[in-house]
Amino acid sequence: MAFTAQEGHIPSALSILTLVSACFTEFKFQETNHEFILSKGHGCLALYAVLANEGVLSKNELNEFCQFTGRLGGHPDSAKVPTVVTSTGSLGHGLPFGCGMAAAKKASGDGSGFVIVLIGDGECNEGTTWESALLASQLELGNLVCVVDYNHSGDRAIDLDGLDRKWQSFGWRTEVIDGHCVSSVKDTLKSATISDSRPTVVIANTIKGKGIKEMENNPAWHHSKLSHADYLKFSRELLR
Amino acid sequence: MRSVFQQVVSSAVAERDRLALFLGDIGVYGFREVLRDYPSRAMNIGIMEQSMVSFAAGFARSGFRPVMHTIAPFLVERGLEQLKVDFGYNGLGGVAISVGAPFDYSKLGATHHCPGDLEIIGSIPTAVIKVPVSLTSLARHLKESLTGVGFHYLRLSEENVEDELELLGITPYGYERHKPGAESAVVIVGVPPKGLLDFLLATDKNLHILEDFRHVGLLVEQLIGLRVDVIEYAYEGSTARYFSSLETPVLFHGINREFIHDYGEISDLRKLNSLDVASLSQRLK
Repeated sequence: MAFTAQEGHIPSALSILTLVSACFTEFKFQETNHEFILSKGHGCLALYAVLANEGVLSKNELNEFCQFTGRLGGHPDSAKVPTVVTSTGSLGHGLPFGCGMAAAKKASGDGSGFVIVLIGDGECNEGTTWESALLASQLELGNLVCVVDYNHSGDRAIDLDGLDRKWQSFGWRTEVIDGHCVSSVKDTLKSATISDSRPTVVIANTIKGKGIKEMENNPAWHHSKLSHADYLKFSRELLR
Repeated sequence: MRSVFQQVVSSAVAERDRLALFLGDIGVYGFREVLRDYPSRAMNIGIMEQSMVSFAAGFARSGFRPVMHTIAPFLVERGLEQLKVDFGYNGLGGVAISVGAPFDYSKLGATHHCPGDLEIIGSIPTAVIKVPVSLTSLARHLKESLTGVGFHYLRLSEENVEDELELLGITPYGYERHKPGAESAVVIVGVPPKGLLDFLLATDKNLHILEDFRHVGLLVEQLIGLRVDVIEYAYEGSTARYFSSLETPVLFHGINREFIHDYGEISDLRKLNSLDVASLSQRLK
């Protein structure tokens, strides 16, 4: 996708691939009333790959990423891909939106289903993230799970040292995990759905660009284009 | 207007279980009963306007029609990106209701002014804009917005001209008065000062009040061939694009694009911007 389109935030997608994949495996969004919001929309390459794997998108469609006639943009568009709950790309929108959906589930009387929101650590700079943390706790949104992709890309601006304690102080149930360990992610997501009036935050320690040594934790690759040589080299590395 | 707003919205929340109300810590006392009786969908969200808008959009995505309310600059300017993306780009419906524009909080300074609300909200392609000038039309527009579809913006005003509309006819876009043989017309956007309508009715000009921007095309058709003055209780030129197809001269009389560092009554700020009756009666001669 990224090579054909000469577009995409590859390291951000590699950072969250395990998280997104595990969310879809565990919550089966296509068949249930659980909802998933990719708030860090620039990581959408991972989402599209998972949706193709789930059969929601055809694998051919992935080749139309960022093409004029394609449905799959550099940030996900809810008007084009029905599985996308809300269009993201502007950071700081997904969590308050997800709070609204979680509260709406409770207001509907039915109350079943969880809302999972995946945000980045850079997004924890946004005021709306912490406003939502206050709000979700106040409203006892136990049906809300926020997964933080903690790849430390935001450290160059604001160091979020003690991030779990920050969320705890807002009244959230907190889990800290290895975001690239499939079993750990799945087990934690499963335990996050155990009844509790508190919302849950899963702080997933990740590596930006995971799987491609040259990209890992290298900010130069944040929004860079792949040459043909890069494409061949990195593909071999990922397939090893 | 606030009491009409509270009555209409409170009744609607009680009648329709898919209507939600979110306040930005404004109007809380007036809605106290609704907040008490329907706490799962009528909430004082607090002073977090951006999150309130996104939160409301989450309700909209879940099948509710949310109403959001706070002071104009905090809803329109602070919450703009959330209104644009979460409602506009997503194609979700809801009703944003402001109070205080353009400078109804005349004693509180420019932090509480919002003369740009109409052109700012107008930058969201899907937005429906309504600026009622009377209590009767406010109730009508509110009821239509609460039961309607899409994203609506309503501006509540401190003043109204309920008792000056007797000689005007109701149209889809607002109000009108046609004078046989008229060569010019005046269009008013926003609540005019007391006495301005009486002054204009005594002239040989046609008179139109634009309340519902969806129907501005009907209004513009009636202006063809006439000299037009548009009085805007908003930044001057805020509505210019709606009249751009007219070949005859159109003059705009609106709020100067400067920060207002003065206080006083609403009437003082109207006068400061030459939008009081005396100034306009000179300008419209």
